[in-house]
Amino acid sequence: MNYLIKRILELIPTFLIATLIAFILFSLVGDPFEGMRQDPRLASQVERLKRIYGYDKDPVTRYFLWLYNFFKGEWGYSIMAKRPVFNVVVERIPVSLAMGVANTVLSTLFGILLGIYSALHLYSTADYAATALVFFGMSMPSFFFGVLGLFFFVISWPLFNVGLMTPGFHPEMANLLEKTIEYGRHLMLPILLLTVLGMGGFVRYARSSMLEVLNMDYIRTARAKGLPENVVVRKHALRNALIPIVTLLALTLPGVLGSAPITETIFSINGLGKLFIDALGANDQMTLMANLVISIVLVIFGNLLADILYTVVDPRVSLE
Amino acid sequence: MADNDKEKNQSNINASSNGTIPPATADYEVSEENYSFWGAVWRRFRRHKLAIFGLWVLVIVFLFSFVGPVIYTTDPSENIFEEDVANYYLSQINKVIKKDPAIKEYLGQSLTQFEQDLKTADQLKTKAASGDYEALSQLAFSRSDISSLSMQILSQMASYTDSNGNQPYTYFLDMTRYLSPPGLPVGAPGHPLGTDDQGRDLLARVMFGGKVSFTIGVVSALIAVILGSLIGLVAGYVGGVVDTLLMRFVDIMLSIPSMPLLLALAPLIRRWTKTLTEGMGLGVFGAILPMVLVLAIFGWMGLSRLVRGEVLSLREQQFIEAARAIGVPTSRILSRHLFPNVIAPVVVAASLAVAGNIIEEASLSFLGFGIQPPATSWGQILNVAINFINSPEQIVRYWNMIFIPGALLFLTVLSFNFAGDGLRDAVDPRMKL
Amino acid sequence: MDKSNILEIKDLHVTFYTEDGVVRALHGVSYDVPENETLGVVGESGCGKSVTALSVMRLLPRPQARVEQGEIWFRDKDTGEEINLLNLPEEHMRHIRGNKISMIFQEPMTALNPVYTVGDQIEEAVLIHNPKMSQKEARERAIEMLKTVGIPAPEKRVDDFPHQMSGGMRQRVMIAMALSTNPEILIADEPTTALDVTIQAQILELMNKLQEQFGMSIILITHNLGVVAQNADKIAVMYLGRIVEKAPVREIFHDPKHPYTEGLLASVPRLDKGGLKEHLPGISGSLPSPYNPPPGCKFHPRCPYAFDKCRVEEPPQVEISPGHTVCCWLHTKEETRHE
Repeated sequence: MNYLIKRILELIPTFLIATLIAFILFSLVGDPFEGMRQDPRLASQVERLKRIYGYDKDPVTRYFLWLYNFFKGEWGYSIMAKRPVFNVVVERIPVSLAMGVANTVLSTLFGILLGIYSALHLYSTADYAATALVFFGMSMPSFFFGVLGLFFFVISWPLFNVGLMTPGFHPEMANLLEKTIEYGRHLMLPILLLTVLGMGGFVRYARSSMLEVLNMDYIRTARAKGLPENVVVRKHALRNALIPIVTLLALTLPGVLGSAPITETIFSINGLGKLFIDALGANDQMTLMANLVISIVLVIFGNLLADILYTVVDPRVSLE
Repeated sequence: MADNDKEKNQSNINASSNGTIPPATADYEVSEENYSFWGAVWRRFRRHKLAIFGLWVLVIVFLFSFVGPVIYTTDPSENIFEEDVANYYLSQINKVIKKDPAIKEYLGQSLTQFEQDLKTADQLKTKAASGDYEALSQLAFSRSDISSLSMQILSQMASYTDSNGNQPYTYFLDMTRYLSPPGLPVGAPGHPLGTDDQGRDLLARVMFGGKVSFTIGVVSALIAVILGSLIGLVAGYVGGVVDTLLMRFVDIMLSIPSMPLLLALAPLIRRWTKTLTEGMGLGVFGAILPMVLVLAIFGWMGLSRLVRGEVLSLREQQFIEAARAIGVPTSRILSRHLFPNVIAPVVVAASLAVAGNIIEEASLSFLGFGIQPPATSWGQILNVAINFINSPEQIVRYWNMIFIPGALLFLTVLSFNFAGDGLRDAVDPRMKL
Repeated sequence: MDKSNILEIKDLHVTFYTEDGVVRALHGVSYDVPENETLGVVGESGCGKSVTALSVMRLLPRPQARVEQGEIWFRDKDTGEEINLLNLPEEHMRHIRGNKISMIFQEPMTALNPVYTVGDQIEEAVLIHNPKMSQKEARERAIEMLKTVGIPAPEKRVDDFPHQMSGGMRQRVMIAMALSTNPEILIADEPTTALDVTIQAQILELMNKLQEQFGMSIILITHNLGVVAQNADKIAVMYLGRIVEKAPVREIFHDPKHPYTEGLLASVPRLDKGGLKEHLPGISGSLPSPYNPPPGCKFHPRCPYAFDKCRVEEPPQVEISPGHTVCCWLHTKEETRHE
């Protein structure tokens, strides 16, 4: 337990320094009032607005102010949307979450299954397909894949809907089922594309993990006992191969709210990723920060979860 | 390297611990150098078919991007005009006339007029080039004439009806889309890949973009590898507080998602390098430099971890201890003993890092945060092309801007990955990268 | 099969097809394992001693390894049947493997599955070969076996994970696991190599004791002549996939015939002859690449007595006294030597 407490305490400086770096970086990126300064009618307003939005102090002081307010739930005011950042960000969560969860679940599930299958059937067709998928995922830029998807399945052969809501659909009036169907129709293609690209990594990892375990001495011991091969594989190999895989699963946590700025931009999905790109264009520092903090927190907790899971699945590692 | 070689053999024996595969501890009637570490790596690499394929593709893409512009000298920033498009139309019409002389009669006066106008435009162009302002303004009128005449002659071609009542040349109507803004399709004479949305030669641009993408990928990976190796070496070898601090820093950097960070940092670094290199006349390199820096700054963390790990496990080993015991200075231990041992995994990591960096550069450029016009890269070409994707009218014309650089990008990255994978298998199949 | 033998290996050829080339790992290996006796198999690493053992277990790595030729005859004491293990369907082989013939390995640190308790792993071996046994009985058997191999407080240690035990203890667990099914043959592949010297002695002593107690044959594979000197009844010396000399243990040590055996013995320091001050001659040169073995007698590049014939033709196996065979042109009859 002491270890766990120590581990959790260690997260605090990581969080603080990571957010500080991000904050300073974003404040260097650009001056959100640049455009107003150019306009003689608005130039006099700049100082007043800076005070209102909290841009009148130096970045470090502003960081601590931001931090204090952040924990109070006041995430600042979005210059771009002219609304509180909290509201802007929260509205974007459902669509990013839907896409992230679907994509993470599908790519981990199928990736791991295919990886293990191909390790058990080396040099089979499935193994070659798995390897092809690995290299495809590593080498296909997500934006080009997205553009191809858009070109083939939306424009040339309209299988999917993307972009704006179907005419006549009003989210306020729809019930949950209708909403799900509507979201699904629009998100299906991007989810599919992200899954195909994301699977490769899991295939590779699961395959090499399983292969490594299959070469272990204790697998030979299990065979030497006279166990049937399927027991050797299921009981002895799989159980060990899952140790690194389970920890990897925890590390995919950030992907659940994964900002996929590129895919969201291509498919005009108003999620967190696209919000980030838009905010970057508008130098909307508070929105950028809120967006990034969500990711940082997920990464940090993902790492912690991985550590904890590791101790659960591997008897050799304990929390002490 | 000899130490290392034995080390590898030793670990192989242990891995298949009951010696199922007899290890090559020595060689009978085989010269030593064939079995040196890099000799063995090369032998294994050569057997990796995909890796060899990747290597060949990389050589071809490299020659295409770097030697190509020397042979194919079309200026990537020069755009074409109405008369160039009209000349293309004329060549297409002449092709038809060759097969079917009746067309010449059918077109009659308008064809002569068309040819005449093109000749005039040509003369005006020569004059204008020598500084004749009068000719320049006449050229503008001439171009609008050519434009309307082109429309007329193309529709005339399209409406041609032969003796059987067929209209075999309707496709000439589709060609009108290249008139405004002036451009050429794939396969046009002198422009094998056609032109981009601004009438610039796409083959020249793709070569130029390849040079940019390739250089950024390789140089940024190189800098990241050097930086990461140095930091990893120091952390692993010095240990203690230095190690803790460096690795904590790496943890923190890795906890910030890289894409947003790169997106935010790219314009910033571009601004900085612009002020720093103002008036230095860096040319293309001025556009490349910020991307190289951004990718290098965020590319070293994983590598420093890898190198640190290798160093930690190596420093426990006996030959390092022995060197220390007989008083070999630290710097010498680092350069003579540790570095050669970590170089193999570093080389593998570097080749895979190039692939990753090319993708990242392309992604940033695609989103408009990377390479800025007038410079271009494969990602930047796609950034422009994506604007046309929602319009079926335009996608028919600009598909070459999407598929050609995209396919080249995929092929190049794939080849780097193949080569990197082959290298890893050749160096140490059990390596975790 | 000879009535006194439990296992006979006849002219075994095994080839490895690896990415680096083709390796003839075994080239006509034959040896007999007498009932209730210990056969020591000696040789440098890579000479094929483990490959022979894995061939008996039918656990050669697939698809690289292939048995090209040969027979492995095993006498099932329960039925009295003589079986060629190489022809046995995998289903039947599973009843032999771990049940009639057990094997323990060199690395006790990695030979046990880290995620299951040692008890689980012993019980698993017991249950697979005694399907009628209950979980509870199997556990009792595991505890009993742990006690037999000398693990203190076996009722407690049975729930330990392998990482909670020392190397020596783990090797004891491996032995307990191998013997839990009452096998007729125990193949011990370098069982003590990875252990401390004091622990080595304990493990070997334990194996001797258990051999008497359980009444089984042991194939003891090692590169350490000291280990076989004390524990084996017969010895087979292997070099590059061939058996170069086979003899009762006393004859090997007192009257070695093959120059390789001689070299091996000469490289062991002996207190009775010159002690530690004596210069150890050893064997000159190093093991040839298995991918590219020398022609003729495989040992000739390192042999001090090698003559022309050795460089061209492989020597046949010759019996020079009862139970003592050697493959060397020095010991073939004159007429064959100068034919």
